[in-house]
Amino acid sequence: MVFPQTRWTYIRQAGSDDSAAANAALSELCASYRDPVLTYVRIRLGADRDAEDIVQDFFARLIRGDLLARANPDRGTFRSFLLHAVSQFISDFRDHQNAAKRGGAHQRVSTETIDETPDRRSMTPEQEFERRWARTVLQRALDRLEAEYCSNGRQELFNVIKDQLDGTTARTGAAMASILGITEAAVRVAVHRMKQRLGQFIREEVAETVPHSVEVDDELTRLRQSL
Amino acid sequence: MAAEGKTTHLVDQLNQRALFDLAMSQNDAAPRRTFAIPNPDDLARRFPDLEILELVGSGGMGCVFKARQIRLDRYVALKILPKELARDELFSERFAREARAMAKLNHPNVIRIYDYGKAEDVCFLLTEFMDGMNLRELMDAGRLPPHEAIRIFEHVCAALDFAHREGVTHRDIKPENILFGKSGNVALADFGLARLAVDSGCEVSLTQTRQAMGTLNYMAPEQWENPKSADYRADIYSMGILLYELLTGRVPRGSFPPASALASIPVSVDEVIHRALQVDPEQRYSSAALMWKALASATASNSSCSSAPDHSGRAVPFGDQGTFTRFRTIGEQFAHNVAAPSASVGRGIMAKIFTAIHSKDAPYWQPVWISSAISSLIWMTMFFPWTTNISRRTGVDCWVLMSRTHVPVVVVAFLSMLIPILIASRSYLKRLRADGFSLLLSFASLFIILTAVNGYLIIGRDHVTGGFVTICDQPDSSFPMEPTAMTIVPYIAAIFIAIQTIELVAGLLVYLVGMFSDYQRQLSEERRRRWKSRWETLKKSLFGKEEIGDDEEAGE
Repeated sequence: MVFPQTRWTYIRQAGSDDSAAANAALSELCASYRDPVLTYVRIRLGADRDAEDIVQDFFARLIRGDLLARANPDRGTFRSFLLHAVSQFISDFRDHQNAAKRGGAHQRVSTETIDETPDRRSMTPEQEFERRWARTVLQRALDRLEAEYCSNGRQELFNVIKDQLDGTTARTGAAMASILGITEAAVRVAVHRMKQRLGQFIREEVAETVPHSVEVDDELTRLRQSL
Repeated sequence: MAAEGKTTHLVDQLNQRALFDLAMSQNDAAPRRTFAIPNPDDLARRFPDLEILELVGSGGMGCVFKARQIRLDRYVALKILPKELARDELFSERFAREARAMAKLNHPNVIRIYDYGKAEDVCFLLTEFMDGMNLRELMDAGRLPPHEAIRIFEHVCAALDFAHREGVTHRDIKPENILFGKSGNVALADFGLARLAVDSGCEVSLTQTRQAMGTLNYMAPEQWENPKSADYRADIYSMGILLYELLTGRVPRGSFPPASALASIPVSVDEVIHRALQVDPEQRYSSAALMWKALASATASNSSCSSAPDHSGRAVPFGDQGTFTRFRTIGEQFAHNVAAPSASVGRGIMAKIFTAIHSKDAPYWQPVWISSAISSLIWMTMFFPWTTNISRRTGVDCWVLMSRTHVPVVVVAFLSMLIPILIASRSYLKRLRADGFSLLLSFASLFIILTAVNGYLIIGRDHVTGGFVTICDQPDSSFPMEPTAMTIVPYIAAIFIAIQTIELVAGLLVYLVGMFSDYQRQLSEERRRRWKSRWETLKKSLFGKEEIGDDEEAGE
């Protein structure tokens, strides 16, 4: 498994060429970030529409290449591209529907049905998209972290110290040490190593979606602000 | 999503901002994935003798896997170098040369190399595996107490000094390359790898090497300007940065506060760091050993820097180098503090016994004289490297210096030995025997010791600076001294100074005790009686007369 510098660059460079590898990479990337797109579509169109189908359609067209060619910005992250593409797709979809209805009224749907948290009602669909995106990045990194620990036979270690990852100490080092049967210093180092690995995975996840690896930090800052 | 479930919950349980902070804080660390990480299955195919266990680290200079060497049943570290390097034909050659040089570094504080080579399209190194963490992780886990930091630094200095003397430079000293074993032993890894990449001239590898150095915090200025011209003194610079970071927990950037302002260490340590961080390599310490010496003397009196005495008898950095003997283990302390002086005193006692037994036939002072003559010879040979060093430093011809230093010293030493011999041959001073003799010899030794230790010889109007103490304790980087000469001389000198000093004191004591003791009086009466009878016999045999004699009685 060899990763190119950033997958997003690779996909964009492949452009509209019918490169199977680029297509596969794109569909993989799209599948990873299906959650934020779905959330966004739900907010924009309302829960009564079949958002799942629309998203399915959107990704199908994206991977086929006609959206990529149309909405491909020269610069920018995969996130901004996807947001741009999906909003355009929704507009087109509406125009299409409206045209079908011959001037049928736009249907506005409140966001309450989507998100119950009151303080997020004021969020724009774009902000919500970013928030979900950030969460997806973290989730993917955590999945990879867990998978790695499991494959090394260190699942127990992962389970015991996983809630230490954000630095809030729920359990004391001594308690964890006694559970795992290792010294407290070893727990400290294990937590530190796991944190490092997670940070590395997060960076890698983000690196996949930016045009150049030097932009990872900008993107991280942006995502952090979205939370 | 399919993965909804406990992992989703984990994301929501954790503070997501903190996780992003975590990722952002890794900006300073080496950028990840600067090259392709090989697939473990792929590696298993290439290395059938190894059982690849896990990826333990990756950076610009490759990635490291923990592996088990199946036949020997031991853990090893498999380091895979970037593929770009393997494509370069010249690199392979250089890599082989460098690996052989690294393999020569057989030192407890240097990661050992087991094997190297090229497996299909990747270059690899098989090295000793350290089962602990690296210094970066240790420092990140919490600030080190100064004495612990200094202990680690000592080990790194020892490793580096050893490598430099073997002609190998490191060029990429940073906490990530300082590894710990489970028992707390320290070892320096990745000797020469950075240089290898720089020398290969391949742009990709150069970039990667620079990336591998993270924010380039540890690089000496000349490594920036002209990487190929940088020599081992670039390592000294990196050691300065490392020392600062070890003590304060942060890397010195721009105009940084003195380390003593941030940690409970003596101000004199600042001077050590300052000197290591000189822009001009000439101004830095000329060896890692000198830097350690300076640091050790700077921290010697400070309680927070000196750890509890180490009675473990563990291998000590400088201990097993043959030339560089430090008195650290109990055995060595014993040898230094007890055995050598006893040997000296023992020599005096043996001389006493010898003379007591053989006093009938042999001159009383002979054994002492012999032993002191041997000492003088050793002293003479020892002065030689010292003088050559001074001559190199001052530009004065070596033989001219010899005539100013050795010849007078030797003349004085011999005179001081000859005078008592001449005196003792006079019958009226017969009573000034071996003890007094020994005393005089010791005074001659003292002359040598004082001149050597004080750092100059007062010969005529010239003061030739550069005694052992001057050379060793106030190192001067402009001083072109060979590390070997420099390291061996002071320790041999220390031993001989100790022996000679003890001999002096012992001689004095034995003489004083003998002078005031009844035994001495009895012995001298007995000896006088014996000499008298022999003299009588001699007179009889020579002259056959009875009335001549007893003049030495009158002379007293």
